[in-house]
Amino acid sequence: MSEPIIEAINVTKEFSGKKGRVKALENFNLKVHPGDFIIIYGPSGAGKTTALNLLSGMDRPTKGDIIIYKRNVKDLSEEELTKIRREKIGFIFQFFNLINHLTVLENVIVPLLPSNMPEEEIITRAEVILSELGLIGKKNRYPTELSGGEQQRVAIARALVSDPEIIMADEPVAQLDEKAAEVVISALLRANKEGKTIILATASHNLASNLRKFATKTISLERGRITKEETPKAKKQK
Amino acid sequence: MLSVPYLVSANITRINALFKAFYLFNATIKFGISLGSGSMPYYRVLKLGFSLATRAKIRSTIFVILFVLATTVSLLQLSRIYSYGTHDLLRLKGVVLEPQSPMRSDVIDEKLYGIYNDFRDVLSGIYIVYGLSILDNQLLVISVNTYRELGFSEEIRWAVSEFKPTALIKGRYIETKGEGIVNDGFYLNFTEYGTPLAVHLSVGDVLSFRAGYRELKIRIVGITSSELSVFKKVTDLPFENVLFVDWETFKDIAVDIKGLSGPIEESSQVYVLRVIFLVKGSVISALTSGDIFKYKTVLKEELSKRASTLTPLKIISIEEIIPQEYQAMVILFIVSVLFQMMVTGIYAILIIRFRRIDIATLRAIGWDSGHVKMFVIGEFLSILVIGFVIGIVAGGIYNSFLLRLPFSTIPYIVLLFTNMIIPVLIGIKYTSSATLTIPPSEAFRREE
Repeated sequence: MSEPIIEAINVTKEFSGKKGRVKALENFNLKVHPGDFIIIYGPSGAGKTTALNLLSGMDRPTKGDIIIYKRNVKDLSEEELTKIRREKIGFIFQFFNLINHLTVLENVIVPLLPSNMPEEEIITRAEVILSELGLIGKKNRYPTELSGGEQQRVAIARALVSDPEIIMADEPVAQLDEKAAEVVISALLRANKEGKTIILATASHNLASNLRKFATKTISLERGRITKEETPKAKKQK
Repeated sequence: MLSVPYLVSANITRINALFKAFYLFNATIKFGISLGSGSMPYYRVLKLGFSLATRAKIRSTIFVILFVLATTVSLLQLSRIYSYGTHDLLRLKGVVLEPQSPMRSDVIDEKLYGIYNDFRDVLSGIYIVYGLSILDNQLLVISVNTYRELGFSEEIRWAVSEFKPTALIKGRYIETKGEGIVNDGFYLNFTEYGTPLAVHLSVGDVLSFRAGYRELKIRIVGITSSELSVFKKVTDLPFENVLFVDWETFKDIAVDIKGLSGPIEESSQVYVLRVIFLVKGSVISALTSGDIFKYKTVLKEELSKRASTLTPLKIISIEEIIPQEYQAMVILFIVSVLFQMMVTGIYAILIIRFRRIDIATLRAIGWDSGHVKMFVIGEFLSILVIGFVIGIVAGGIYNSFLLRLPFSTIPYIVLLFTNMIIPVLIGIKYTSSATLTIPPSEAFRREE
């Protein structure tokens, strides 16, 4: 079995609330291996987003350790964590988080703009991905001119353009109708098939159930604690 | 070639050099703006910010209008204030005496010395306008000089310009020795070998005087009005032409052409056309202490008391600037600058509020702090710069064509600091630090 690329060890995350300290995540353990498809399932407030924030290095644990690419988050500076996210992780957000004043193409190339890659190459890469996702005809449209499904596909294109090893998706289909959701999920499964590691957080029982057969691990969260962890036999050997 | 709208072609080398300079500036003054490390091309990110500003049409238009308004008002007020240092200085700081009958300069010392001696504390200068009639009273040569060297040579130029009716209708004022201004319709008649000749001068011509082996050349640089009644009244001479020259040229004409000797300013053949007193006090201090107006009142009272000694000199009424008018201009200028800074602050705050999720998202997807700052600064700067440039152009056009104020670069340089550089530094400081307070994790916590 390959080395984990992300590892959470006895992680607890607390926030200060009106009623004092609140534990958003408690004793959270997870190993993410290359090519994994991990589903984090749980109702609203279960700690899914907190888990994604911690696993991506956007937040730091109160207790425990997060190891990303063999380096403890505790020992990494903000700039180093940013670099890891830029090079290794693509993000898909529930509300797409596209910049409304930028066109589809511009939104997709955003992750690569601060890189040293030539502009022509950036554009070519973005156009290839947009073609694969069936959006090349709309590359000069603005996000507000697109349907929810199309916007989420633009977000997927943005997540894929930098060719990351990991994709973290937070409720990627929560705002979409069934048909649009299918297209988005297909794109994620295809990316996983091509070797990308997917970590998907969802509150949808149906989605979690439907994807279980593709997942290497499904974690159920409730009130910040792991209540169930499933690792299908077929995937165990990975 | 790139086809997306914001990726316009640019001279990359120049832009990168600009950013290198920006880095240096940043490191040198340690203004609290850290762009982060690395050599990634910041210009692409800055352009993205520019692009966003132009596309957020409603917000950008509102703020461009506000910046234009503030800059235009600042420029108008500053130009009006600054113009008091040249053309209207007399209206602010001057008390003018004119002889009511012809007066020769050999008596000027006995009339002015008492004032000079007793009121040097409140006087910054005494200027005398002299006249010398030559060529059989066809031409009156006019110049200005300080009395007992009380004054500043740089003020003599405006003293000439304020000596009505010397408002130029063509060309410029005298700047160096050997230059002259003549009246419109300047016409000298000569008879050469029994044949009548006439000379008409315009800008660029050279008037050459020859007396024996000496030759004096005066290049005409400006044309003034032909209204000469003021000069005729104070000299009682029938001349039809005037020639304004600097004091050195005036002395040369007096000695070489007229054949005068001894101190020219005390010659009985030189007329006194006007005496100008200037009180002390900077234009800026007029706002707070009002010294200019206090000194002016004291001087006018004293000149009235000594009226019999000064005869035939008498105070003439000139249009004066009242303290409130001047102070109102200064206050309006300060208010417009503060307004510019306030609008800058509001715009910077609004950008951070409107772009909060975008900033969090960009940080989440791997933009480092320097790039995120540059992205926000790009949007912030573009609107401020567009508003400033339009304001400067609009204000400049209004000044030149409607108010007809003299052009000077000084107000523009002052505005560059008060309405551009200082607001930019404040805005950059705020946006830079505010950007870093938005955590990347906020991208996941968006609420619709």
